[in-house]
Amino acid sequence: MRDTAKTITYYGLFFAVCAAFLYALSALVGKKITDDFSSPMVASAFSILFGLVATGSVFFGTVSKEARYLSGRSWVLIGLSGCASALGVSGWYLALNVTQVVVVAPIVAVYPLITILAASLFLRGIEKVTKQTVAGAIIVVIGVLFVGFGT
Amino acid sequence: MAALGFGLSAVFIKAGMSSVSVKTATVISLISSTAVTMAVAFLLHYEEIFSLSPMAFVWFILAGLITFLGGRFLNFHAISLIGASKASAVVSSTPLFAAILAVLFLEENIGFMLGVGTLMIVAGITLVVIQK
Repeated sequence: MRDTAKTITYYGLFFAVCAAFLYALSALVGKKITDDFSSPMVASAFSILFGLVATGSVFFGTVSKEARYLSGRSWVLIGLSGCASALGVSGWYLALNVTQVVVVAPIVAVYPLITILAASLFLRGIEKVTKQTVAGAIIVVIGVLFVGFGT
Repeated sequence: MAALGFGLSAVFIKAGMSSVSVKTATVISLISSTAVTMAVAFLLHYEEIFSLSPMAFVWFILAGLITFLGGRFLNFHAISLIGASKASAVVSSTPLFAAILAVLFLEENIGFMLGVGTLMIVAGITLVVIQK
C-alpha cells in the first residue's frame, strides 16, 4: 500500500518535472515567435487555440464520452481553471506593456505560494498542505528569482 | 493578476478533476483559455492578427503542441497525482530549465546568480519530494 503511494508520488513528480521542461522549451519557441512573427499576446492566443485543436483531436474519444456525464460543478471549476491561466498569461503581457520584466517576473514568480495559500483555504478535504511543502515552495521561489536575475 | 491567475488555476483544476479524467479536464480548460486569450488578442491586436504570415502559424502550432498537449496535460496529471501545492512548487522551476536550455543552445554563460538559484531550486524541490 505504502509502495503504491510512493510510486504515485514519483510518477507525479516526474510528470511535474517534464511539464516544467516542456514549459521551458515552449519559452524558447515563444522567443523565436515574438522575435520574428508576432506580439506575445497574439502568439499566446493562437498557441492555445492550436493546443486546443491538437489536444481535442488526440483525446476526442475520452472527452466525448466523459463530457456528457460531467457535473455542472466540474464544468465550472475546470472552466475557471482555464480562465485563470488565460488571465495569468494576459496579465503577464499586459504588465509587460506598462513596466519592465525585472519588475514583473519576481511578482509572477510567487504564484506557487498563492497556489499553496488557495489550496489550504479551498482544498481542505482534498489536499493536505504541509509545512515542508510551504518551506520547499518558498526556497524554490527564491531560487527562481536568483535564476531570473542571473539570466 | 498574472500571479493570481497562475496560482488559482492549479487549485481550480484540482477541485474540478475529482470525477473526470486528466484528458477531458485538459481539453475543457483549453476551451475557456482559448476564449479568454482570443478575446484579449482581438481586442488589443486586431490589425496584427490579419497580417500574420503563414510561417507564424507553423510556429504557433509547434508552441501549442509543446505547451498544451505536452506541458499542460502533464502538469494536470501531476496535480491529480500529488496535489496542486506540490506540483506547482515543482513546475515553477521552469526558469531553471529555460536557463539550462539557454546555456546549451544559446551559448549563454552560467553566472553566480544562476548557480545559486539552481542550487536553491534543487534544494526546495528535494524538500517537497522527501516528505512522508
